Amino acid sequence: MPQTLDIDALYERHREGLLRYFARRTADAEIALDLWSETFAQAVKGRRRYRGHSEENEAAWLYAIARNLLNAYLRKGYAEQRAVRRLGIERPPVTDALLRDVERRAGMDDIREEIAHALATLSADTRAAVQMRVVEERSYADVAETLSLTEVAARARVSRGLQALADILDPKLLSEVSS
Amino acid sequence: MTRRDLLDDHMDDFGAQLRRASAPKRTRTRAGRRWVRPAIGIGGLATLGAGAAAVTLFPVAGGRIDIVSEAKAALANSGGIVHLVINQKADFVDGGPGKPAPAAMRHQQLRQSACIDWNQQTSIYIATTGPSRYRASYPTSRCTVGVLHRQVIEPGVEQQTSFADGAYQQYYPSQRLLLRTTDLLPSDRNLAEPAAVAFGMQDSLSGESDPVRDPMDRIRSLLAAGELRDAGRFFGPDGRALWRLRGATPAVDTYREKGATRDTEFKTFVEYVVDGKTFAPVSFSAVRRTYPEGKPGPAFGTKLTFVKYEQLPLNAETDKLVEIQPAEGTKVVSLTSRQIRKLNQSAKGRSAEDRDAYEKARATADRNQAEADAEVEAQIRSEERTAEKSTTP
Repeated sequence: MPQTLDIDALYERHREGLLRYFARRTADAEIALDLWSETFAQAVKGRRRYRGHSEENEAAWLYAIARNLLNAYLRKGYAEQRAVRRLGIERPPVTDALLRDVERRAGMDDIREEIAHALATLSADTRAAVQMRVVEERSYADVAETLSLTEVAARARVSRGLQALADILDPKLLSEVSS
Repeated sequence: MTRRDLLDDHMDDFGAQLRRASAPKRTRTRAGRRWVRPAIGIGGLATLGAGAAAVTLFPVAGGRIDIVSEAKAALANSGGIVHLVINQKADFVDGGPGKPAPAAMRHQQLRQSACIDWNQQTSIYIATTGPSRYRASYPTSRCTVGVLHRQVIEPGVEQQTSFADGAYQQYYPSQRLLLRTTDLLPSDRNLAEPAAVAFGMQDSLSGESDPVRDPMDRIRSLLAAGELRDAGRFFGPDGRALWRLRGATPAVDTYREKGATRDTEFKTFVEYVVDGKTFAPVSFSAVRRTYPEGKPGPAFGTKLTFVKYEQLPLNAETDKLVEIQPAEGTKVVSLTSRQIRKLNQSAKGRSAEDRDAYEKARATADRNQAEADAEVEAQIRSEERTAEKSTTP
């Protein structure tokens, strides 16, 4: 018999891990918070359709939402906030100090170092785009102007680079890329 | 005890808001009737309509066919093993019903899918009862080089994955390398379910993903719940009797485009085509269509074709199909998830021989990427020429 989803318990179990998941895949604390909040908001909105039977099922369901949102972000270049808005949630303000806490707790300094090492394995064009965006933290507009690209093309190139880096940094994601 | 910081306060605040948002509300009604929302949370998103082409309609003689009873009779779970061979096409977009996709969307979609040879198939054996157990086989991307445990995984090679008894395994026959992990991180726990591999875990609006084992069980439960409806029998191009089953979610989610005066709604249309006699799945597809300003707009999805569906009895021989059978001489490496993440993936520390192997594989991947980009450019130019011709007086 499927279990009723306890949103409170789900949130408490996964709030830290999910934020770390997004932070390490976007290398951007603010985007990570956006995706994190939207994932839980979508979980609230979709909770009546949940059909799982265990905590493992709950985790799989939640992270499936997360992956969809991450893929959408990598594709479009911005993080959705539809469900957050529809639920009428007013997110607490995001300050520089908060973002520093996110970066520290997610170990993003470590991931930036790993990305810097892994950049050597990318093609020159992709490396330049990812270096500027992720390591140097420049805006997409800036990256586009420097590389003589449109902003859409710059986003796509960074996205491809991040996906390629995900292969290098996390072998399990090979199966995601090729499926 | 860990010191609290701003992030803890932020998370507590957000959690309180989630709690309030998830508190029970009165059921909304529309025009005096209960607004029933069928839940279609199936894995796999696909294009609609490209499946088996209707040749003639199957005449239904006599009274109304009770599809639920017919399906129940046909969909008896064998309690054994299901073998699926799936062909999944890349995401596609259109600009509206019968309209081409906006150029920018189409270009981006093509570039993202160009490296994955969608004509290659995924073969997966799934135990239909008991704890999750499956084995899948499919090719890696032709534009990607992997480095696992200091071994180079070349682009476009076969890989197998499996899950059983809490262990997730990845096997690369060409490298005689098998990696085994017994502590999946929460972000990877969907790998424990075959739907994650077979259906790509691309969910509908809510991101729900059921632990789908046998697609026929899924069809039966959806029919019984009224979430799939009979959309008619027909004959496929090979003369095979087929049955179309359709479902849709109403617009349950919205967003506001910049400058728009109202929210854009989303709706997902799902279609299963099944064998008219056995109810074996033939194809699954879904289209997620947007409704900007209330009118049908662009849509996207991916079609999934069941090239093969077979039920096998569970015995000593077939049980082996659900497990990876590594070749003699395969190196088996057991690692925790954290150890796998810490594997040396950079050129630093590699031997000259390792670096050579990596550079060669990288060069192949880069060539394939360039080929894929060239194919995409050619396709885009061809589409633009076709579009020009159709608009030239």
